[in-house]
Amino acid sequence: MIELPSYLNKISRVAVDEEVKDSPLALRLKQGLPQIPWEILSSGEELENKDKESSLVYLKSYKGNFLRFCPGTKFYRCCGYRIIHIGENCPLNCSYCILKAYFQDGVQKVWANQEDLWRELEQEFFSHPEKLYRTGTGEFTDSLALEPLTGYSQDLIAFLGRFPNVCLELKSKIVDLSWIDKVRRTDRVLPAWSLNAPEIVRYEERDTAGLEDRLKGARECAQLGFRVCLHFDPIIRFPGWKQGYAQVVDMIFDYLRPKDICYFSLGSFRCMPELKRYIAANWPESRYIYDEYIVGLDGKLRLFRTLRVEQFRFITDRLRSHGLGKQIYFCMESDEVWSAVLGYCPADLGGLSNHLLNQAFEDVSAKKVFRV
Amino acid sequence: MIKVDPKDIDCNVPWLFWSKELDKIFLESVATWGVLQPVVVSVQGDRYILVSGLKRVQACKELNKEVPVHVVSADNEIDRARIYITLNLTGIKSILDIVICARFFQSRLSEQEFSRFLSKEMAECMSRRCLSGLLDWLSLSPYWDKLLSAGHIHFEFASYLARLTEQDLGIMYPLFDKLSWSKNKAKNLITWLFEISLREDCLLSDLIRDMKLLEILEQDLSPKDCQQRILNEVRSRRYPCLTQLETEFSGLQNDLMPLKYWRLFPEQHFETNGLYLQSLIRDRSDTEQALGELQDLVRRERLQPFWDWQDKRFS
Repeated sequence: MIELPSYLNKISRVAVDEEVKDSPLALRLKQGLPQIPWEILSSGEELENKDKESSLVYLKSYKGNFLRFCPGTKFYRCCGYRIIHIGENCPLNCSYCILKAYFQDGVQKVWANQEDLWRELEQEFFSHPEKLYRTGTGEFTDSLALEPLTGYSQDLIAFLGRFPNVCLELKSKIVDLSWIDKVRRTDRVLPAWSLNAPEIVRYEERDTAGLEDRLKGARECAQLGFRVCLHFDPIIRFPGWKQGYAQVVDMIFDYLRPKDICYFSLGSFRCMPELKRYIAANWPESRYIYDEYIVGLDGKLRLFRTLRVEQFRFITDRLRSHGLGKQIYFCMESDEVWSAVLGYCPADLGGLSNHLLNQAFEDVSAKKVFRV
Repeated sequence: MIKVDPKDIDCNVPWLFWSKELDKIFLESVATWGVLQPVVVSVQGDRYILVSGLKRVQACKELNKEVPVHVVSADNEIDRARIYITLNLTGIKSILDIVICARFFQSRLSEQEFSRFLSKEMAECMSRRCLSGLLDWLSLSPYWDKLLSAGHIHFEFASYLARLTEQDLGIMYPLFDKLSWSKNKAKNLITWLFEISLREDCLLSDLIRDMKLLEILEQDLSPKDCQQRILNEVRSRRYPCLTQLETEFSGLQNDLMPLKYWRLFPEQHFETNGLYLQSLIRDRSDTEQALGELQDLVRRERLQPFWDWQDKRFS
């Protein structure tokens, strides 16, 4: 029997669509959770979860698009990465998690009809071999939180190994390197960790791996030849934030060299108003939501601009002092903020999406890509 | 059904929650047609206790008529009140009606019984959201009902008030007692105060004292101006950076650019350096004047100080 990380031990119920009950993924999950009762849903039957149990995993035959665009808005600069949609929600427990407001049913959904996923991806990537794709699975879920049970990223990496024009980012707050054996080219997989100030990790990110563990994982990947991506998102203001972020920045460079880092995003805490209410109700000790948040151009709450710039500048200066340069970018920020902090805008880099494609595929231009 | 002298019916009972004043039309109707539906009473010793039908009893008393009664066996005030509710649910006109009734039951039933009562017997007249708001409201002292009745505060804000300590509520009370707050303004006031107190980790009462909000009430201001002053004070504490920049921007406008045809304002919350120029044009003459003023703006670079200010403050 697999030894599961503690956050997965709370799983008490598994539901599966009949169509995918014998899928490789379902069989693997069954092996990992032999003692948990399974509920099979016949075609068209809706899953009932009146109590909003977060301990429920639902293997679903997903009918929507698997390859999607990042849901950015026109008001701020989006990194333009492509989402490979493998499931929804996250078993980790971060106070600020946008997924909690997005997916209020609390169910951990996994798209188990992988054959459909492979078909869609193959059609896209095979049809456009000249095009580069920077993809990731960490938008609607943590890329690796369910990996010990599903092995999803292993499957995905094995599959994408056929497409040198695709780079896959695995963004997580845990450390699971079980997928490494499946990697054909280390330059086409970007292991990524979301990091934060130690106080935020300690008080706001329950069930996640500690900072040091994440950085040890990153170092191991770097030593194996991968470049890693790091993300400070959400950046939060709290008493002593300068010290906290300085500490984590310095820690990063105890484990990694600047050249080990493919790119590094900074994103200030922002949320839909519903999430603020959710945090207030469920995390009464989390007082950061009462900071000076205003309604941004996209209707989300975000920290007032001068305060964001102050934080970004502080963190950026620290990152630069350790040797980071064009790897740094902002997630969903305006040109004004880019200019104020970095002295240039995405347009000066040829567009943020292009810039990050270049960062991800540093060894190739589109012309050189060929199928193996 | 029997007929009794209205003087023999005890009407001084606490469960006639939604009874209405006797009016001339009703009185004339009883005079013409008599009481068409018997009032409901119960018997206690040798007396009749009114369960429902106050207006009919009052009319009969006024007209010196006997009143037809239907006697029910309800020997305690809870049962009598329950019957009253069943017969008068359609009489509920406002949330205050529900509050009055709920307070009666709350003070007489155990917590469990009361909760069952609300979910069963009051469910018909309340949504779930309303029910949760009601519980919040009932956690306030009954003297807050006076403000609800006077329309000085909206029922919805009970959830905010319910989180406050008795001391905080006490110091908040005059703000609502002396001024009538619209839904939006009250929402802002309560939310901002509450959030500042959490952010600054201080008691609301200390905050209100520190901001001297009660002193504003004593100033010789119109209710509207008084509210605005209070809201401005609280907002500037809740959003110090934003309000500081708004003040600077507005100062620049007053000093540098009194415009007749154009209104100049920044991007929402200064999110970008964009500026909006807005003009209301009624006719050709307005258009020409506005155009002239715009050309003058460009020619004399009158917007430059605003760009310079933004460069300085946001970079």
